[in-house]
Amino acid sequence: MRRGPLALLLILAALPALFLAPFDLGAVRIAGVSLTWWYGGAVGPLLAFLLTLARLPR
Amino acid sequence: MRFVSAWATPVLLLAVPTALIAGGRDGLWLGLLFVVAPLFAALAAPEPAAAGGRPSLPPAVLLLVVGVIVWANLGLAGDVATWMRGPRWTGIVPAAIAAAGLGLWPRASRRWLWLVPVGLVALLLPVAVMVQASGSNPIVIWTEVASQPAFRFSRQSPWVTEGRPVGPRRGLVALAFDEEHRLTPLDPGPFRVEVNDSGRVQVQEWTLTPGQSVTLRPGDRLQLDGPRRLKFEADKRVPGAPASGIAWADSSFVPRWLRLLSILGLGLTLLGGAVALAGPASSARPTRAGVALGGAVLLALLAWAECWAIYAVRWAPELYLGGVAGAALLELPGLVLRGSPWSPLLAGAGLVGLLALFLAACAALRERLAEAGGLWAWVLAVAALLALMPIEPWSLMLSALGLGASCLAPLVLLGPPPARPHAAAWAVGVGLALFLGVTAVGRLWPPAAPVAQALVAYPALVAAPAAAAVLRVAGRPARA
Repeated sequence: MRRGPLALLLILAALPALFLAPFDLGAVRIAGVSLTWWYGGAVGPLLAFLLTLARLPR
Repeated sequence: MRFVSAWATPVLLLAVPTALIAGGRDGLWLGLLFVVAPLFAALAAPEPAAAGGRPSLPPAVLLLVVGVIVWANLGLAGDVATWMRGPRWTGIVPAAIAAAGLGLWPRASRRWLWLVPVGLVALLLPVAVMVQASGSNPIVIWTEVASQPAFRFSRQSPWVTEGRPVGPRRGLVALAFDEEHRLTPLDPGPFRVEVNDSGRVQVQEWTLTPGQSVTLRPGDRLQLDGPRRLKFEADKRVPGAPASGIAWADSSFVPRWLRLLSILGLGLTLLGGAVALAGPASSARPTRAGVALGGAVLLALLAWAECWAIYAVRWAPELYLGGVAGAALLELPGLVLRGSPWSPLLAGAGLVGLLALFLAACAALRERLAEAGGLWAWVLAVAALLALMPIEPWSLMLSALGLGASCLAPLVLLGPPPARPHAAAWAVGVGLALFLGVTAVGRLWPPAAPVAQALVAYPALVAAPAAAAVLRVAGRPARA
């Protein structure tokens, strides 16, 4: 598989990994919001958007 | 922008806040997929100019996928009409006529893309007003929700002051009570409660006159046979709501291994569905500028869905009653800004936003159907007729995307084997047969085992790998 789609799949896979991470890592609060919510609600989608832009030809 | 328009239909968009409200942390998976799946499709779809180009997709399957998506969205229009206390057709017919009119309007082919920003602004307006009125940003509200000890009826809640209809939604047929609760039915008729007496469950039936109350004990379950106006007690827990804010924010409501299977099923269905929608040879691969614009729209829609969910859980936990439903979420401005004269206008803005997104989706899907020889008017007419039946729009949407993932996505991603062009038809046939077969088995003989339930909920888990395997095996060079 090409690298761009593979990287997007890895960005997706990071969220279930946070769900299942030991010691409730996903529940750690950063600026009042849990790590899972930061990643799934903001960082992950933004990262996927930027990566897609970078991988598409002009 | 075209690739986003076909994807961001009202049913899929409303499913995100619904999943976030109902599932809390688990709902984030759908939100992430909502943004990533079309981006994945944009990157994974082969270049039209590449060797062999994009494969021609079977028109019948494409027609089926598009038709069911339109059916789901018209069904949502019917649900909205029901929520506004009108007959279903008052939502379905105007939406179908508007979609047909857009197809007949000659200038629409150039200008329909403007519907997307119009829809976005109309959706974001109520959120902006709610943020301003609450005096706190969504991050602060999330923190407040996550530290709530329980979700309770407020004294100003319309379910406490005047009483509201509560009915079965999403397969939920009973309201479970965790604490003593005085309930007042406002409509005449029998009142059936499953009473738990030291582990022995028995159904008790009372006939109350309007205004009479009954006190339910912890563990009792009120059976919901149909919509019925009920008045609840203030400061009591909302039946069906999560146990606490922390349970909503950081816990999962399903067992771990079953969650993994559901994550995989939903992921495969949405990724494959997005590839199928982006795949037709008639749709050009999106440009970088198009993806920049479309991706920004997707991010803004996700932000809208997250804000909508967070404000709903904070200010309107009554939405949990009888199961969270997409159409009922439109009432949120009225529940957050209680007593404000602007709330009906803001709910109307939300409706306009969804209608604009629906029309944009119709225009984009109509372009996809160019490969299937048009038939748009027939698709709309049949979908409008079918939408008169009250079927859960989200399950229809999952079926449409699952069908695309099972039959079309393997063909788009792997392409037909050059040496055996007939293998493509075999792969589509295997995907279609397995998808329909698993769906039919699940409907006729609902499985009891949790693993089988997950497979039936996401038939693409079985059908898509099988179709891909047919293409792979057919693509191998023949032995000498």
